[in-house]
Amino acid sequence: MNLYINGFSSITKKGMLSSLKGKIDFLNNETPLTIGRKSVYSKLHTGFGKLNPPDKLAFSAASLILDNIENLDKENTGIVLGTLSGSASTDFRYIESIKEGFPSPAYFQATLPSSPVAEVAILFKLKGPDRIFSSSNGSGIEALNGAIRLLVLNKATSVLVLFINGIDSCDSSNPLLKEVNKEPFAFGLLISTQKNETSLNFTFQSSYGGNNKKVDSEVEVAYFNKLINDLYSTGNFNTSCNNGKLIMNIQIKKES
Amino acid sequence: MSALKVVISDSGILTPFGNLESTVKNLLACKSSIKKENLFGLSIPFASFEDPKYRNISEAFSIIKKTMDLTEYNNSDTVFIYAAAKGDLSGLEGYYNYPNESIDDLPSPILDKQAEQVATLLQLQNTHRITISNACASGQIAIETAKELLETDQFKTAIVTGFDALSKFTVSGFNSLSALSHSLGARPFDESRDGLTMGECAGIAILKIDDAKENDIVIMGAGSSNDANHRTGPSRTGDGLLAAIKSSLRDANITENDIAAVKCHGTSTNYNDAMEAKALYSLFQDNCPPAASLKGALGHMSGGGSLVETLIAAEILHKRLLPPTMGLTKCGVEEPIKVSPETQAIEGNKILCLSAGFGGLNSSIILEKVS
Repeated sequence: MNLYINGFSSITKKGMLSSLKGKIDFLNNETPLTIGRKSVYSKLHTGFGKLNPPDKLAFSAASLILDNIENLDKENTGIVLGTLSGSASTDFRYIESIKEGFPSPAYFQATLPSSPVAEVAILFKLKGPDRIFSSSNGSGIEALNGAIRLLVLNKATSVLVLFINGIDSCDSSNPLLKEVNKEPFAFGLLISTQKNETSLNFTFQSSYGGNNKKVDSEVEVAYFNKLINDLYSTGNFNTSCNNGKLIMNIQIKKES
Repeated sequence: MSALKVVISDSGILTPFGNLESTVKNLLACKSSIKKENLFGLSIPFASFEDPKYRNISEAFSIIKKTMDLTEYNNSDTVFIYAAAKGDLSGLEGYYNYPNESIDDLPSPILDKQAEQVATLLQLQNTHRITISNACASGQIAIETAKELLETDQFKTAIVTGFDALSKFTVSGFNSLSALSHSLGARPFDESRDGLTMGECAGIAILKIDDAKENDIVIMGAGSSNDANHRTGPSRTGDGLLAAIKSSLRDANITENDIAAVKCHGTSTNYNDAMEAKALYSLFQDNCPPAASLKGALGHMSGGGSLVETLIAAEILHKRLLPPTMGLTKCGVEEPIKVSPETQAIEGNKILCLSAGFGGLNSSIILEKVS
């Protein structure tokens, strides 16, 4: 089965990269959590400014790939999310609302690690299978492997991989998150069985033959950073990354 | 010819009725664990553990562990999957209620830390660990993921665990959405249904890729989808759930005519039950097999419940008896699905298990008893 990369994006403290919109620098002290809707999405989205950190990051990374996309088989496009801090930021806000005596339904409905998938699926009408891997290290690599599995097993024709850390700076000192990566970010990758004129060829090898050491989250983030940067600059990428027993080697090539 | 399939080799659960044997016995005796209790600031129907200490994840898995020997699986051929919507929130609540006290002994709110805690307790530290959180469909999605990993030769065994417990966090949250029944308790598919009743559970399943022998229960098919409609409400048409069911039928290489019974999601909310009936009628038309929701007896056990209900479905396939849909007196959905307040005979060897979760997540699993 031939697989292709049909889109990619990244949002880090250094700015944004997008297969659709190119390099986007942050304006006026913008951060990954304060980007404006118009930087990432061309249509109206009145709730964008009020989105909780995980949902906003996931939606933004998805928009940088899917905004106005044509020829996507949305009925069979799934989302596989790797999330480092789950819904922790939103959990804290919800529990504060309980303490104030008014449990907030607006916060509560987003207090799930899967909440970002809901936001993206609803706005972009993606109806394929979804997986949410929630782990403070390794969830991005597992998400990538999980996405490939869905395609190889013919459960989807495209999968949007999102790897995020939806943590707000005011939460970073919370002792409940002491072992969690403190930087907010989002990476997106659209992998598909369907080729278009800008597709990059995608091949991979994965096996569960490694040792049991979970990947360090900074190493995992650096891997995704390099992946998206290489795709943006040359369209080529060839590097492996391990998580626990999972060994993944990915090759992406621009057709000459 | 080899018949390698994904077999449920062993399982253990903890529900408001106790272990698997006790749970199935009570379900088939038309009992309900739902009763009005004063918990977390509300005096409403709940389906709670006999002992509240089982809301601690270690206590819950310690009791299940007593009946299962897992040590032989502590190796690189095993994947350990933990499935939960929110899991054990006692650490999060403990920190916010008692901010000056140490949190070192409290379960972390980060789900994979809970996964690590359970894996350690079960002496499975040498396995590869994955944490899945697909809202209230987490357990079935974990089973589907395990099936994928086993069928693609990545592992020989999958230990799938699930846990979700009652807490002020979740109870107040569902109440803020006006989703809870305050008086009648869960009455899936009933015309007077007025909301769900919250429950809690823990579960462990050992899945192996193996030559399936007579009477083995195998995971025959699995499929999932997203409604792409609303954050908390299901699609009104049932199309998303129908798509998940069709995906699982394709995976199993069978048709809907082969299904002998349906274990519904059946939460007792107005919209879920109406949607689910539409999906089932779209599939089966006027030939719906016996169907039941367990939530009228066990409450809605959230993401962990999605695993536990599937394990109960495996056991009722052995018994060839579908439990009643407790609380049902008069069917209140438009479509003629075959739910009943009494037990129903299962005249075949395949059961369809359905789960759905916030954000439009739908899951369908088909179990087969090998004959």
